[in-house]
Amino acid sequence: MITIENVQLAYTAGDTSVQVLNNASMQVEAGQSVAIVGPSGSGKTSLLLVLTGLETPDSGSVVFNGTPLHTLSSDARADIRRDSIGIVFQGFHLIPSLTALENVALPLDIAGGTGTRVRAAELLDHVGLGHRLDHYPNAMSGGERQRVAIARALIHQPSLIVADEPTGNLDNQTGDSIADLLFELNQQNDATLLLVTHDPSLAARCQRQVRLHEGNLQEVHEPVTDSILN
Amino acid sequence: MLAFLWRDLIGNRRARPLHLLATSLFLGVLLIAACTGLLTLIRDGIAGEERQLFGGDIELDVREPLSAEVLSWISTQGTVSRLTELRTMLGTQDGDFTVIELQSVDQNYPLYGSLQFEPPLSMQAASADFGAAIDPALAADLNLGIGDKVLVGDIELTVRAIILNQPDRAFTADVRGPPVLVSDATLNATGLISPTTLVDYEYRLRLEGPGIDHNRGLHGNTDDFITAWRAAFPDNTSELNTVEDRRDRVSERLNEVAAVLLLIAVATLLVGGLGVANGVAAWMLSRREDLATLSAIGARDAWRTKVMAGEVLLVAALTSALAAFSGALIAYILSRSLADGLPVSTSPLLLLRPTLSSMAFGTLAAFAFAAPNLARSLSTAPARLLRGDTWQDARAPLSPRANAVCVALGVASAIALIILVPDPVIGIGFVLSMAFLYFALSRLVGFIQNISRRLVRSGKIDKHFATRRALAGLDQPGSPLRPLLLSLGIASTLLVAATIVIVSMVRLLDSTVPERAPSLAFYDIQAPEVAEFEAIVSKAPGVTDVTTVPLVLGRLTEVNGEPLNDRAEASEALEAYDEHKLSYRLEQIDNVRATSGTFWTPDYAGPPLVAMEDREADQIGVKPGDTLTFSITGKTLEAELVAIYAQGNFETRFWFEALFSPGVLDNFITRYVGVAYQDSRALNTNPDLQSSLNNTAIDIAASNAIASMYPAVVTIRTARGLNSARRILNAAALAVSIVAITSLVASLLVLASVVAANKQRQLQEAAILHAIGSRHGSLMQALGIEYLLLGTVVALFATTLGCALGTLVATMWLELPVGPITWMSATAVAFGIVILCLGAGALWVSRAISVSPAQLLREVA
Repeated sequence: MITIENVQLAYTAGDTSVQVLNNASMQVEAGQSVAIVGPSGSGKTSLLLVLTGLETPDSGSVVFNGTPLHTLSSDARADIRRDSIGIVFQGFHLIPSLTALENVALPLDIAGGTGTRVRAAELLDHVGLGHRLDHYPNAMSGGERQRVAIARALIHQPSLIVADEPTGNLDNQTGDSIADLLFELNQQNDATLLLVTHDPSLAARCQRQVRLHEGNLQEVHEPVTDSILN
Repeated sequence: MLAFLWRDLIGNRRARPLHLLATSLFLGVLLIAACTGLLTLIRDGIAGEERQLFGGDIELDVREPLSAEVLSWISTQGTVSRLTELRTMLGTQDGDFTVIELQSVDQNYPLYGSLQFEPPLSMQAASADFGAAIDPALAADLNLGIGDKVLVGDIELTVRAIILNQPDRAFTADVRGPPVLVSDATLNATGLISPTTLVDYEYRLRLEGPGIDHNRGLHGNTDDFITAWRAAFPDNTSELNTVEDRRDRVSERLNEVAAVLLLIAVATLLVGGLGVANGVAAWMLSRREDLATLSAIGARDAWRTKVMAGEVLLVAALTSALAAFSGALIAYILSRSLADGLPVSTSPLLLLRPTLSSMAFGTLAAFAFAAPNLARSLSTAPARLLRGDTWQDARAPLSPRANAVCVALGVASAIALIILVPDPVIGIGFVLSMAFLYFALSRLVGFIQNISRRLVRSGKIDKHFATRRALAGLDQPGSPLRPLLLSLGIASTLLVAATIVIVSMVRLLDSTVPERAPSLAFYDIQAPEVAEFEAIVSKAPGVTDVTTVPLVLGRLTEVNGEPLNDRAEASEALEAYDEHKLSYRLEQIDNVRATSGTFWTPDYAGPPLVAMEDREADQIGVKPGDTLTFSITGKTLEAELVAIYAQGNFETRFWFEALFSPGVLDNFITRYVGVAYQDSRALNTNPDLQSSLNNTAIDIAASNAIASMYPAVVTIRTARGLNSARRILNAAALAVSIVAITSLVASLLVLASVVAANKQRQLQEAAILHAIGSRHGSLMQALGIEYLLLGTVVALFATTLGCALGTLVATMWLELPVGPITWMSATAVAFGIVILCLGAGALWVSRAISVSPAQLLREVA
């Protein structure tokens, strides 16, 4: 499904360079659910950006369904995201000037689909927001925004779903219901799920756990605890 | 609180939104202060010299010298001076001729102010032995110096002096003809004065009597004089003018010009006001965490409101003060440069009042623009602020109290504007127009958004993501459509309107008039010599056609037997003292069409009939069927009014106020007026004449040739008048262009703020859209289409409204012809401005979108 090998990524700010990913390697099979864990600032979000082709690594390879993302143009990578990847951002990244319905319909709109609003309305209804279709993001709670973001990530039935701290901004109860929703939809669509989290319980619900430590990815074979996360 | 306010403001002095607020406000207040300041200086200059400019307190304008009885009566009222004026030709020894105002003055001239000559001679010395003092413009035109000989009428004059200062030199002297001062004896010796010559005898009076002290500014009461005059000479219909009449006329004209400039300046402030509103919105957005924190630590709502409103008010007041003083400085510099040729005061103290009022108006208007966004932000719940909402709902309703404050500020600004503009009617008209404009724009914005929404939802453009995004961009909250239409739309509208006026003036002077107008016009051709004159003129270089028509001067004294000067309406009664130009309706009087009633047939031979020009008829209030009584050279002529006619403005060669049926005027005709057309091609077909002469050269040659044979006939070259008109036009066009371009600059500031605010939204959206699979090309395409749609809407709006406004001003007020070429030029200006401005904006945003999406996502997170 997706393989990264010896990925190097550094950010430069002025004279200072920070090595975020250092020979990171990982392979994820289709249909798997994988939790990427690690302390804050370990580079989890950067890894997510590399995996989805939003960031180009300094070196190493990222292969998605046999296609080397790192060699593709920006547009070609965008096409892959459009067709096969759904992303749930930590900060939701909903478009504030669009309603919930319009936000969810966006991926289908980009693909030039028709009847996008009907499908978006169905999905929003499915995530419990059928009564909030015409509401703007700023008029919604954090949990509701997260559900809109999830619906947007799933509407085009991607084969890979990537979620960055999907419960990070939510209270326990809301976080649990969001996690349930994510796994339920993942199973319904038979998609691969990559979760970036430092919530041990959420990580434990995934089939695999991978730890990002000093830019390197290490498989976790023991139960995820706070010590592993931090 | 004040200490916190000041510290907070100083701490945020580098904040961009505050700079946007200040720069947007600055230009509008600067223009208002400059316009009102200059107007004050000109008003004061004219008021200080009004008696010098007018020549006395009262002027009696007559065509023949006053009788001894009348003169003796007037002399009992004060000091009298007579200026005799005659428009004629002056020739040099090189054979060049030009029109002059030949003026002879007595020893009391001037009653106010003094004459100054170079060399410093007295009037008596300069005019002795056929001496003359000439205007410097004439000396420069004909290259004349002291001691040179010039021809006027039958005699040769010696230039003794150049006039350095003539207090009553007319504003129109450069167009009508420069003054040449001579003695009464010299004027009589020219042979130009005959019983049928058109001579102006201007008797000026300086009132004297108890309580009058001219040195202390205590002048006589002209109303008392007029009452006494009417009682003493009830039948005398001589034209009587007072210094107050002149002041009112000058003031009216000045107010009209000032109102136009001031309204453009106010429009600039209005455009800048949007920048103020945007600046305040951005400022409050950047302060939301501070506001939330202040609330969290116990600051009451009223305290927060006072601090934030106080900061905005302080910035607005400081900016307005700086702009108003800069505007006053511009007015002062302009007054210094104008002072040589115009009666303009240069006292800086006079600028204090317009400066302070501009400053107060600027502050009030800025606060009125700032209030809605200020109120909206301050009424936002602290909890929402703490959540860090980055997106404000501009459509969120205000509380009733906030609404009342905003409305009160708006009304106060409108009232202040009406007070500021010299003519309150124009001020009210402007406020109503702006209210209408705002309403119309709101409807237009709603209409466009409705269409966009329907298109997006119709499914017809589902396959075109970029178009769909662009249309959705117009409809969504925070859309730049409204601020763009209001800022760039209004500024472009002003520029389009200014273009219409300027292009139509330029076209009139450069093509319409030269193509249709005759190249030479003749006045005062004596009746006995008209046939010979026509024959000679038709042989002059390049002349292709000569036409002459009789000109009779007379006054309308009665309508249906009722004396006109008894009319209750002052403007109608004054018509009894106006001299009207009368003639026949001949074939030569072109473009005359009856708007009411009908003309007589060409072979009509019945009782006297008359037709009257529409504006004159409106002013007097006459209609077909009325019986009009005219007084011509002391004789009475009665005729029935059968038609009211209109004349084509710039297509009419002769201009008469009344036309009579055949034969009626025969006994009164003593002089003719005429025109001649020339064509250089006529020269080229004649081998005896120089084929290399162009039109300018041939009309000078013809004018000189005719003037040398008929020195008493005033020969005017149209080209000379056009050149003078062009000079005035260029100055007017420059003033309007500077003010309109400043308005555009203000709109560009607003535009930059709109694009900058919009840029954040576009970048955020672009990053998200790219993250969920939109191609970079699609994003650029959507951006391009959004700006193209915005540009098209703004350009079409500016073209439509600007063309309508400009055409209205050009045709109704300035009476200029406006045609398709003018509209096309204005349309090109509108689209040019919009393409340049929005193109630059789109380029700026597109470059920002080109950066890495990952970086954008991190930035907008």
